[in-house]
Amino acid sequence: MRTILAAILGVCVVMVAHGQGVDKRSHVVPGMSCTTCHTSEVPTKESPSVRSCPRTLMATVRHSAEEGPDVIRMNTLSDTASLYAPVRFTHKAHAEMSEMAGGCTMCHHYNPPGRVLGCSECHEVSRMRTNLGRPDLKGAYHQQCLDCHKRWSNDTGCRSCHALRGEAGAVVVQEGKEQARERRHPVVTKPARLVRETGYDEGRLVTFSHNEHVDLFGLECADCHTSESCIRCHEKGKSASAQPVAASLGHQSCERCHNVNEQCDRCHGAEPKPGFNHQRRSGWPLRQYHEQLDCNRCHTKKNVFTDLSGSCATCHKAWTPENFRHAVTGLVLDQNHAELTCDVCHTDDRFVAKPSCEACHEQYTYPQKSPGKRVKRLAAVRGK
Amino acid sequence: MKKKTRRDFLKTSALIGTAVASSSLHPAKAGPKNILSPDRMGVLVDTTVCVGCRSCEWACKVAHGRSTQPLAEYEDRSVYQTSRRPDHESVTVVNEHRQEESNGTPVYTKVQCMHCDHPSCVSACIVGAFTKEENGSVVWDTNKCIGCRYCMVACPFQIPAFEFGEALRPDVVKCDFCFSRTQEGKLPACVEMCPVEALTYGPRTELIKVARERIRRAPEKYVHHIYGETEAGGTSWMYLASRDFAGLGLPNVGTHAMPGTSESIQHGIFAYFIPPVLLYAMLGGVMWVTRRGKESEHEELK
Repeated sequence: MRTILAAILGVCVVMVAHGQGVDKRSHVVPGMSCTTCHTSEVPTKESPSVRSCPRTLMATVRHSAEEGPDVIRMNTLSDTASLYAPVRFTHKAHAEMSEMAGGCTMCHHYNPPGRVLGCSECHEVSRMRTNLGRPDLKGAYHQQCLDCHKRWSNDTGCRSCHALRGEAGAVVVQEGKEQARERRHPVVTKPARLVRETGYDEGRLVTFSHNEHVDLFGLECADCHTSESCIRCHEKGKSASAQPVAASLGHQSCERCHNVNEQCDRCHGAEPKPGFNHQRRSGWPLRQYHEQLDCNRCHTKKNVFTDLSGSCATCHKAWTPENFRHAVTGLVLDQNHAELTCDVCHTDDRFVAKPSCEACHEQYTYPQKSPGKRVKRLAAVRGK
Repeated sequence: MKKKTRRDFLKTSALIGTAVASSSLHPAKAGPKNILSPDRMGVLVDTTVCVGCRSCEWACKVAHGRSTQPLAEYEDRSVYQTSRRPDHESVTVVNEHRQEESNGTPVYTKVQCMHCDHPSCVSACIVGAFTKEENGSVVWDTNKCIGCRYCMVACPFQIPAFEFGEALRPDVVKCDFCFSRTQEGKLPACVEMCPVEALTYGPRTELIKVARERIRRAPEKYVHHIYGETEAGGTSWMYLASRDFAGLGLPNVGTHAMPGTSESIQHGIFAYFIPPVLLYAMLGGVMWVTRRGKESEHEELK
């Protein structure tokens, strides 16, 4: 919570003032090379050798729309002689809109780790300057806004953002802009299961369980929808209609998590595919305890549901024959059997196959002969 | 009155000819100031950034003390229904170019003097009123102008305009690259005004680097060409665009410096005054030969 507050405060400060250095305390990002931002392997305070902006490599930290400020008054360039008043920028509404279109990086296109930088920290106020490769602040503001606005509504008129100043330089608040603080993007409706026809003879139909990807696998919209733009969904009349970009990308959308070159039959088939079933997919049924877990409890690598070995020790590293309470399986082992190691009865390390008694008792089979007393299974405790 | 013989005349003209020829061997080349400084300034117009607000037109008029309607009225877009050319009242205009095939966003192109590296107006002006200044500006001296309008014919971009409505002292008018402002260390008025910084002012060599970098960073956004880098031998104003320049009112003028051909002929004829002297010497020679033939004929008859 403290970090979130700090981030909000950071953005506010950045948008109003400018010219502060990079926060050193949270400057180093694990796993990121210094050369992403610095030309030297060992940058020092005296000679930071920072790459000139804008950089092709982006070191941007993802933030959620909620962390940012609601409304920003962009008055760094405020000039009372100007015809137009400073813009009240509805930051949160724009942050929400951008979530499926590239996120914060659409505007905060370069951001060092630590905190979010405002435009004025890199873009100079003066147009008469030496670094011509980077627009000045006024140009940066307008280029950023108008690049979307001209595609969105073809309206590049000054007054769609600026109020006119009154006669004596007084700020005239534009009608309707006060409510902008509460303005939110309506919740986007999610499709359930999508079945699409392809041009292939084999595996003609592709089934995409959109709901499972969102609800079950816990993907965020922006994980797949990285390059939507407002006009994609909204035509000029502004009713949601067109196909999102991600739907037209075909395999590109899937291949970040799926191996699209080998596992065709996962999605393609002559008939629509049924929903996800752990046993059918992996051969490893989710029973009483495991079925209540989120996928990422076991498949910890984000967005990539790699096959696990199925061995208990993959997750339950601390389990040994001594400390494992066999009672949770609904069977309390008798004294003789409790002393044995697991693999005497359980011949596969996935503990899926039927236990075998053959190692000691040639004629015995499980479950006709039981190595202990059956009890009621212990109630499953989520996450334990 | 002493009678001048033909021989005397020829002697005098030969003397004068030699005098003129020798005096023109080491002259300061007579002609207008035409400097091609390596540090000349320029403007990069990025038409992918321009939104057609026409603030530049307003700023230009204010900076040059011309009457104009208030800035707020420039938001009226009906002006784009016709394609405009710079004239004696507006030395810069913005035109809208819609894409016929799609309903994509229109492209806006600002038109003004390109301030050529090898300006044909400077070359064509018979009174030397036009000059190319060290900072790249092509300017003219109204007091020298005699209104011949050769500059208008010579310009490959058809920029100089003429005050045809003025009966007594009509002037040639065109963009002067805000020469007086830049001499004071200010930016050209249009560059200073542009809200989106579609116009970038700087040393021309630097701007070419900036333009190349923009194309490199967004190759899908731009036509891979900087209009004005080589057009007409290079111009101070250069353009980037998302589609073919010819469709944006930027004519295909080739890469040859316009004054090159005409000047090579003109200057060749009079270079160091050698060709005229040779011509006269040859004529004199022919006359001398024929005359000697006649004289010997005379003697034979005697």
